[in-house]
Amino acid sequence: MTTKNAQPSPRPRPVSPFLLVALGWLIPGSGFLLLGRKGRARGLIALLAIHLTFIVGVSLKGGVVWPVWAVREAGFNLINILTFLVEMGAGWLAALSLAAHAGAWAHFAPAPANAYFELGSLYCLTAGALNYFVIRQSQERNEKKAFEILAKQ
Amino acid sequence: MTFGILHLLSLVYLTGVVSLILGMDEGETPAQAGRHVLGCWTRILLCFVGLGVVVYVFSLFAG
Repeated sequence: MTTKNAQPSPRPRPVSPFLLVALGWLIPGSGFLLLGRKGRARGLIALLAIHLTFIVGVSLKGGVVWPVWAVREAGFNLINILTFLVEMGAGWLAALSLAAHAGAWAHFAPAPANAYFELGSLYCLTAGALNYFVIRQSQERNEKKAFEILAKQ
Repeated sequence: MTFGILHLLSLVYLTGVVSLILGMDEGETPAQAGRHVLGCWTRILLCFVGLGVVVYVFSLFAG
């Protein structure tokens, strides 16, 4: 009869904050998923909620539009720039919407002339803003985990 | 679907999703977080209903 050697369980380690922010931004909700079992439910809820919100926004012909950055140009508007920065919080979804607008891909591109564009963009704005909160929440959880590991040592 | 109804449904959905994301990290158990989310959602909706009533009353004096 053979006996199995007891393998020492790997020591839990906090996730790299850079990886957490980068992946959490790129794929909304994935920051929590990186934290393991404790963050799984929160990560899935955030992932589904943010993706659904952005997709509803896109289906209403909303999306991310590249703003005019030059102060002296006619179309310059600070609100548009702030809206753009918040919408970009939605990661790959926002990047896809922006690329679709630049490449005139009709299925995913925002249509500023459409009556529902403002409402759809509000959905995209909400999705982007929520992802910034989710990234911060996952960072806090990660810091708490790191503190607990330090306390155990 | 009419434009106004869509805006009302959006109000309910967007306040719900904001409450869900902001409230899910409150409390250690899912029940505590759920109660927090529902309380938050109710308060936001009540605030918007209050604002709607104020705007409606003002509209009675317009024109």
